[in-house]
Amino acid sequence: MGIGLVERPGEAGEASVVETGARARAIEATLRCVARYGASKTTVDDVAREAKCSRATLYRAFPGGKDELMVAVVRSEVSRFFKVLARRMQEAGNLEELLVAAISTAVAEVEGHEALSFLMLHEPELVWPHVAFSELDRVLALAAAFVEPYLIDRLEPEHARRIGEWVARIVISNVVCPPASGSMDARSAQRLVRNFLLPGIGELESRQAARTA
Amino acid sequence: MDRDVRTRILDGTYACVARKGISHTSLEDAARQAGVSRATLYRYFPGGRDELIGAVIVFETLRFFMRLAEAVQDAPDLEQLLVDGIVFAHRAIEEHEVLHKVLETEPELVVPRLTLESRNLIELIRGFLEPRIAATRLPDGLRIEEAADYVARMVLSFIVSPGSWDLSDSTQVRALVDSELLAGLRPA
Repeated sequence: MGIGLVERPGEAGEASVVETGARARAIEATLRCVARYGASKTTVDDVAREAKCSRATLYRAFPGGKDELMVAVVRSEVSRFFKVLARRMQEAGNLEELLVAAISTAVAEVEGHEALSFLMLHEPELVWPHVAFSELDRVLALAAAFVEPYLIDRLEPEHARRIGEWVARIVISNVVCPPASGSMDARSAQRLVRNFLLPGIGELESRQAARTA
Repeated sequence: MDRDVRTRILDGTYACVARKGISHTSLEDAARQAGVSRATLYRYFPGGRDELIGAVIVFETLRFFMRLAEAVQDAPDLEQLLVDGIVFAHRAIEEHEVLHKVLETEPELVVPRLTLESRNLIELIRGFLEPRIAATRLPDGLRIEEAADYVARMVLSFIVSPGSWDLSDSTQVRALVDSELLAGLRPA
């Protein structure tokens, strides 16, 4: 069974998924089951029991059974992730705060995600293939499309998109391999942004200015 | 334990993986290819097939980074070293037929092992870069290890995935190196 982290670049970032009723309850129940038993061992019966509904109800909501349920779970969690990220980024007062919020929130959301944490630890084959090589290119394209609108008033679209990729690289690197300080919290993220991202963005802006002058 | 025998076993196993993939490579295949007995193979890899496959992935990864280090060791400065290194590594990945074959058919058998290895790889790149970064003047307050750790993480990320950059174009790679990698390492 494969878990596609993203459907298609742009898709999960833009169209938000709102599940309601039986589907929403089943998705929540699935997340709790995966956090406990993992994705491979979670059965439709486990989910029905956890959601306190019958097998029949579950199959009415998800006629494709476990596979369809898992796809819906991933889609709904990716959508939720971007909503949290968007909220934090909208609160930011300037570029530095925006980038710090993006990095520290993304890392915290991944690290605090119980079902995903279980998979990273016990079923890594379901997670890592989605953030490496050509699959990582897809994730980076998604991040680029997501971040672009926040930076579009100061950078050309191409550069704005690249900042999104850049942030995603930093997040993934620090999730796969936490920093020596323990975790990429807001303070570490701020140091990283001040030391490396802001000077790099300044460099991009001056190139941009030199070209348009 | 004889390093040559260990290397011969890993070379043999790699040849088998190149030919038929990871899941179809048995201990017997690997032993035959390496010209050793099953018993010898078990002496070197007591964990059996899993340990052997893990070791061969690490072995080939290190070989890749040794070639990379060799390709850039004469670069005149840090900027050129990073440009040359990223271009070289990108091409080497693109042309790595065995990697593409396993990524295509059995990514779940290779990517988790590579991910596990990423801390060591960051350390490896960092160790290689540190003396070169130490030879440059950094902005006040930026520590050498911190700069090296950051650049190493970014280099590994670009080797794994180019994103929207064309890493075969050294003009683009220079723009990338000057902004995302080195802008923060230059004193104002």
